[in-house]
Amino acid sequence: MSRWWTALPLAVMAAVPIWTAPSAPIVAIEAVACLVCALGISRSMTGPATAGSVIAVIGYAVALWSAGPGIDVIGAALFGTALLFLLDLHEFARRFRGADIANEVLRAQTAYWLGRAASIAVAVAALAAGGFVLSLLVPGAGRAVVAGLGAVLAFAGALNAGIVRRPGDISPEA
Amino acid sequence: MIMRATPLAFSLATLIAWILFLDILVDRAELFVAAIPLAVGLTSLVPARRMPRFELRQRISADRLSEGDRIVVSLTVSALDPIPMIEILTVLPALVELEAGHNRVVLAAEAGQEVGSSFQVACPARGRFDLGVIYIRLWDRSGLSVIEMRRATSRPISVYPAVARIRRVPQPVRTQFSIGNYVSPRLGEGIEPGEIRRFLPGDRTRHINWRASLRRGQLYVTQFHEERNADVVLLLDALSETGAAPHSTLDLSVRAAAGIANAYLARKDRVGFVEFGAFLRWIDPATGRRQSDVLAEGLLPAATHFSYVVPQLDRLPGRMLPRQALVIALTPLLDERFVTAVIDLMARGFDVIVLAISPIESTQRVLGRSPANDIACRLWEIEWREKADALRRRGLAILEWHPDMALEAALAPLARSRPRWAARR
Repeated sequence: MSRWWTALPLAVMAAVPIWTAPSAPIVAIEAVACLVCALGISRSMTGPATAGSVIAVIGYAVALWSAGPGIDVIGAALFGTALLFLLDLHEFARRFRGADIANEVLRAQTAYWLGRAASIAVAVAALAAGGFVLSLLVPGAGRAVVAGLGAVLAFAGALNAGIVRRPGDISPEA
Repeated sequence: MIMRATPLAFSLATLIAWILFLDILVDRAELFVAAIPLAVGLTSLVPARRMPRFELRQRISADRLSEGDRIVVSLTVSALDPIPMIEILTVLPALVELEAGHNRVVLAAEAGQEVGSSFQVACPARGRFDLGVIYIRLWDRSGLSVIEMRRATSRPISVYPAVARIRRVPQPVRTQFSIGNYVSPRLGEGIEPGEIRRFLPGDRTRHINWRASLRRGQLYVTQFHEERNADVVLLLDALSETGAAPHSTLDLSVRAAAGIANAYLARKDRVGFVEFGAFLRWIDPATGRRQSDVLAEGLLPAATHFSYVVPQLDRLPGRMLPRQALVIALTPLLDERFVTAVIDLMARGFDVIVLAISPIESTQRVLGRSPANDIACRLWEIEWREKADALRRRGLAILEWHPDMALEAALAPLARSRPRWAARR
């Protein structure tokens, strides 16, 4: 798979903040982000690609800070999906660079990515809807409690994934 | 076997943390929403409870080949469990070149399925190589975790030196006692007529030389020279080497030694081999097809090793250097220790021929062409020829061989005839 497929999510990643708040500083930040990402992609290095994504997030945060009060869920979901696919495609191209990839692998991987895009859309929609319902049901003071509960649950999930199921905890078969 | 998270997992975790931090800082819900796809991506990082079971088989089309030959390496993965992605890297030794296909492949297999891949490699240089070292990575679809392992099984291949066909080789001055192809100075049973002498009781009547007998008025018989074989010892200079494999002077020497050995063995001669390097290694003289294989195996690992020790030919067992043997020394004339040893052999009465292999072309191939290099190489060639001439003046039979000429042409000056008087001294 050509690493230049990453140009598509890269373009989306740069376009969303500029579309949110079109201004010279945002364009400059996103241009720098694109350049750093392009460096990482051309050199097959994960570090610069991640750094470029981090800069792009800064640009998006600045754009949101300077934009109006309205919430753009679709733009935000697109931005996040673009970041995910940028890193995923770049890493796929990087780790298999110079290798002969069987067509079945590419077909199955493309299907996996499409499925993941669909699951992201469902997750964003469900969380947005859940958040809207919660905002209607829970009073202002209780929202902080719900947010804290969510943070605790997320932390517990991370612990479960990272510590309870240790990477070495697999059977040494084959 | 190692299982680890990939850089992608750390990148996603970093980005999520950074987005949530900025979310708190600018207090906008969009950043939280932007983190959701990354969090969905990161949830795929679930370590496998059990590694997928599979069998990997490797097949090599040939394990004994000659320099320049090609082999096909086939890999087959039989999956017992579904394998989303298996990356297989067959490590190629330095002197084995990939010619067609890929030695690094990414395959996928369903449970019970067999998938495979093959590639072709060329082996331009002699040696023993192992193609059995394989690195395997089992990736999950998310690319967030990987299982790595190394499988090392012995898959040796032997690449023997290419043997040039030589029809005429230098004639040995002295022969041995077994029947062979050389006309011995000794008189006896043979087909080569020698001197004529008076008939004595016991002489065969069919040896009577009727023409001489009629002319002299009494019976004369023709004596015949015996046809005998010879002992040949190939003395390989492994003290010095210049150039890069497969065109180094040692590679050329080994190729020449293999060709000369085969030519003498075809004449029923006994051929032995001595590697004169940091340590002495030898193969006893013998004859026949088996000896050809033994010599090919013996020549395979010939290499230069640095040492301050000067090897002594005196330490060789007596059977290794028979007194009547023809010693053919193969050397680029770079190390004085070898030249001294050859002169010493000559002084001890051995019949010595030096095949001087020019080191200039091998070095030039590594250096590349430039005016400065060309001039340096020309000066070196003049110096090298002067060294060869100096040895000629000391009585050594020197044959110069440049890689661009046929080996048989280099051996031709001594292939026609060698002074018969030398055999009687």
